[in-house]
Amino acid sequence: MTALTERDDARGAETARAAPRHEPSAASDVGAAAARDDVSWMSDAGAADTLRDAGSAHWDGERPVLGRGVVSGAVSPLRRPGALVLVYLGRLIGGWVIAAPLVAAIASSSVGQLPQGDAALFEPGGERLLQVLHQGGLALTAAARESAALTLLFSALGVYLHGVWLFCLGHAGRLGLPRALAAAATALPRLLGSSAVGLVGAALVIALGAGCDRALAGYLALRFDEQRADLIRLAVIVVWLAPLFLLGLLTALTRAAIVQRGLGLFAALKLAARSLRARPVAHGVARASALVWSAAAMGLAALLVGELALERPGALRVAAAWGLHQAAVLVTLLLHGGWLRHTLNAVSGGAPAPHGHASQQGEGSP
Amino acid sequence: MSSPHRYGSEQRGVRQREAPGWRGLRFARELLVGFIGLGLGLAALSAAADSVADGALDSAARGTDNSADGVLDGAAQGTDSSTDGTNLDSAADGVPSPVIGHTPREDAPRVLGARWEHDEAMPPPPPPVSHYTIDARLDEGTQKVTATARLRWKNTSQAQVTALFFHLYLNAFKHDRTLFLRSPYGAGRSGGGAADYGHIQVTRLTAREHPGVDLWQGAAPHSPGDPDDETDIEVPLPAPVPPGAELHLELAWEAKLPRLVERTGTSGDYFLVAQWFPKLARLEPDGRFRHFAFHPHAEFYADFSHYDVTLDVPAAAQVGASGQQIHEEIHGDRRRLRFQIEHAIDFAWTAWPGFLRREEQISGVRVHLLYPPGHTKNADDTLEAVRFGLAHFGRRYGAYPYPTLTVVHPPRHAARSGGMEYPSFITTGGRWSAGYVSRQVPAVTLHELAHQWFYGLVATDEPQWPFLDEGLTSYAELLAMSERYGDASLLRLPGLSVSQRAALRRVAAEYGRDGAIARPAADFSSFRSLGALVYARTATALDTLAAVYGREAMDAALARYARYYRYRHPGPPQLIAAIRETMGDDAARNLSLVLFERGSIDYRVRAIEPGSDGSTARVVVYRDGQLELPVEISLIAADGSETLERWSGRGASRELHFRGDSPLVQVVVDPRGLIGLDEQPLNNVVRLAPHGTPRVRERLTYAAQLALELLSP
Repeated sequence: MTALTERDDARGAETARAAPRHEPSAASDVGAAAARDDVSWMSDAGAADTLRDAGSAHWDGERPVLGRGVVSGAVSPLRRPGALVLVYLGRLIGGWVIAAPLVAAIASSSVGQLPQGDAALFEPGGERLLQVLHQGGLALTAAARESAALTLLFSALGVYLHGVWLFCLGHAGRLGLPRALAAAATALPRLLGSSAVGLVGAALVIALGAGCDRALAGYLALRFDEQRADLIRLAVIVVWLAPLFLLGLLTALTRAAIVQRGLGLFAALKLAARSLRARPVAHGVARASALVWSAAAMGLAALLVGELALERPGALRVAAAWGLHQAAVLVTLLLHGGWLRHTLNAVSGGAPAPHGHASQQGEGSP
Repeated sequence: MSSPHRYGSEQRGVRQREAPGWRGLRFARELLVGFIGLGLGLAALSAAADSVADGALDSAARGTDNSADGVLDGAAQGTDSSTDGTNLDSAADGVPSPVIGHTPREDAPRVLGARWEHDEAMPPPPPPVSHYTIDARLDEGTQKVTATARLRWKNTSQAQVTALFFHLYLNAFKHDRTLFLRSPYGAGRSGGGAADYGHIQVTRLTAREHPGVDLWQGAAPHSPGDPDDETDIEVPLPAPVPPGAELHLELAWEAKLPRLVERTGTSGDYFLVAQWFPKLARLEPDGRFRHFAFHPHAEFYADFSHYDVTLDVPAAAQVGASGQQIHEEIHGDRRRLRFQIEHAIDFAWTAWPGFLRREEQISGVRVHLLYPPGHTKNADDTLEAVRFGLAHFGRRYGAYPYPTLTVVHPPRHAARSGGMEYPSFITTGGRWSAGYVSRQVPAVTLHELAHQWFYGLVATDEPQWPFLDEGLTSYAELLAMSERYGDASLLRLPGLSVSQRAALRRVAAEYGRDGAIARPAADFSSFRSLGALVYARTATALDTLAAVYGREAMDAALARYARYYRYRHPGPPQLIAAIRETMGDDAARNLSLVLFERGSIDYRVRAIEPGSDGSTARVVVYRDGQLELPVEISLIAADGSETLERWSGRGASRELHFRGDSPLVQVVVDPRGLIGLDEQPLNNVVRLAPHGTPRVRERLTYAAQLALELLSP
């Protein structure tokens, strides 16, 4: 009951009052407790209505039920190493392919002919770097266009891999890759729809914010010195980022609801909105902590790679840089996986699974 | 907290013009930073490639057999051809260029002597040509300066003078038909078009020598083929002024200041008052005035004068000006300040109640820094740059002669007045946060400070030979920034530093074929072209000559040039002669080629042709372009041994035959990268087994992964 009690603490007294109707009979059955707690939360938040209205497969006419193999407490990304590797490989292959046109363009600019090879591009002063950028000219521009197009393509593919990952994290027991791929493929249109909703919403928020900022800048310029005016604007922009951040949370919860609950886009949005409204701080902290730690990992990698002196020859330096950067990518993915787990728990009604929970669910690959 | 309307000045409707996107003297830095941005963004390099491709075609079509004599003759002709007042056609459609007057006929002694490398050699300044005693009142409400002046002028030429020529630069903004405002390039150097009109109206001009005559009655615009422009005014005299004689003039005028344009005008209660008085054109030794209409690409030219200026301004205004403040008194809500400066070619001032002020004695100079609230970091950086610059430039080009230096950092709303030089008065620029993210503030400060020498003291003809002030100043700035910040003189990021030298070289290469450097400002097709050639290519050319022929020799040449021609008005021949004196004929010939003949150079090596026995090889190194610069060629064998060959650069190619214990695997032309003018340095190398690009692959893959992390859910 420890997990349940903690969850009740977090959710407040109202949830705790609603919970007794679904009090677990066995304190050791964490999964069942989570499932019951899920129902209590649904009652509290009204999400059960959402499921019923949507005709979800997870609604049995009286209360939401979890599909076969679906757990209310999603598993840690470390418990799904296969899925983690799949997503990482997707990123790695994507990065490799996206970089390929630019790498080819730079390689064709005689960099390889230099005595130092491409180490010359990292020399202090940037002489060779600017020469390559200058003389690369059209080839680099064309390559950049290709890379941009590939980036968009792989971003869309990333939505699919994201769906696979969500599905894996949200399921207990053995889970074959084909099943996960098929499930994500089924959900892909809705996942892409959620991304589109997020992008359109973000565009609106940014456009509105830019207009307000312009007006604010004029107003502040008349009343404050430049530094104060800019700092006030910066503070306002930070505040203005809150809607964007919330939009990101909403989109992530929507995707989780699509995969975890098999909901349609609008039903998932509704469920996500309710979840966000019920626990905005918890969601925000979870996402923010993942972002901050990711930034820290990337910053640390940048610092360490900076110390490698890549302008000097040596394959080991390149290998070390590769290792550090890929470590940063992996850490970032793990943190992202943790955030996905949080979203799955949120839309399934369960709290983040306590340590050891996954083993009780008999998790397996992928 | 500051208010932009503390004088209660009235705001008028403005007329907007399309901005050209280039801003004043910050052009070079913006170009460099922009270039890097383009490069890093990989978005606009196609234009660069086009330029390079065009340049390559030009190069292929051009012969490479220019003789040294021919080049020097060409340079001399380029100088002399303008002495007849030829009306040069502008490349810009619909913008006839102003009349280009004649070039100064200063003697160009072949030998200046090593003593001019030391300040002790410098004689006292010659007597000034004119004395301006001005009493001016700023009306902040109408944004007008009403002034009277006594002007004592001496005919220092060897011919009698029958008319005076005044420049009324503010009339460039008088109406849409002026040469300046009808230009399709907007406001030229300062970026953005004029948003308001401004003018100078002279109400009286009398001479003690001609009592009862208002000389201004006979004044007429003097811009042949350009009757609507009133920036170049001829005033016939009732009687000729013989050589050595003086005129004692009295003037009254009203200057209506425009909204800030071309580094002069107003912005709210901020005033940068420059080119605000009727300014006598420079009288050349042959008795002809060097006068011209104010072109958007051009700057100014004047004789050395003494200025005694009394300013009547609102009491709340913080004032900075050329020269030394010698008196101040407050009457109610007005303040009168008197400034004096001797041996100066201009006088400018600023007034704004929002300025904070710092003062510091640096190298014997009283430095006044005026800056907006919130710019503490910029103020620190500016003073640090001035501390470094006064000593650095003083050591190289002679001690700074004025007792004061006023540095103005304009507020953001008046940024268009930033990046300009006047005698003992410079403006810098940058956001309050600039010091945290870039080298903008020290770079601009050092650039404008260097102008005190190459413009203020060596007072060259800016409209006619812009490279003599901007080019030499850019080179001086390059040296200063390199000494101060090393390889990160332009940019420092984690794992990436970019030097100003590297960026200048690329800009110089990109625009190198646009045309000759040494030509009048009005002849450039755009200010972008002028900026690249005059700022970047001149600096790169001088830097290349210094690297190839010796930095000490170049330092000595400029040290002698700057000291010998202090308070004088040299032209290109004088600079080239100074180069020849310390660096030799080859250096002077190459400089002339770069300046006047679009001289360029591109060394390249195609392949290594191994011999049959494995230990021999044949290599041919080619040279394209007219410049003949000596170069090193490194031959690297498989066992790592290196053989260094030297080639004078004469001839179209050089064939090398290698014989060694180990096969030749690599050839590098100019391995130390001395020749900054080399248009395509990457074709200087050839290697039998090229390296891969693992670092590039790694870095770009990682960057793409991060992009996916951002863009994917």
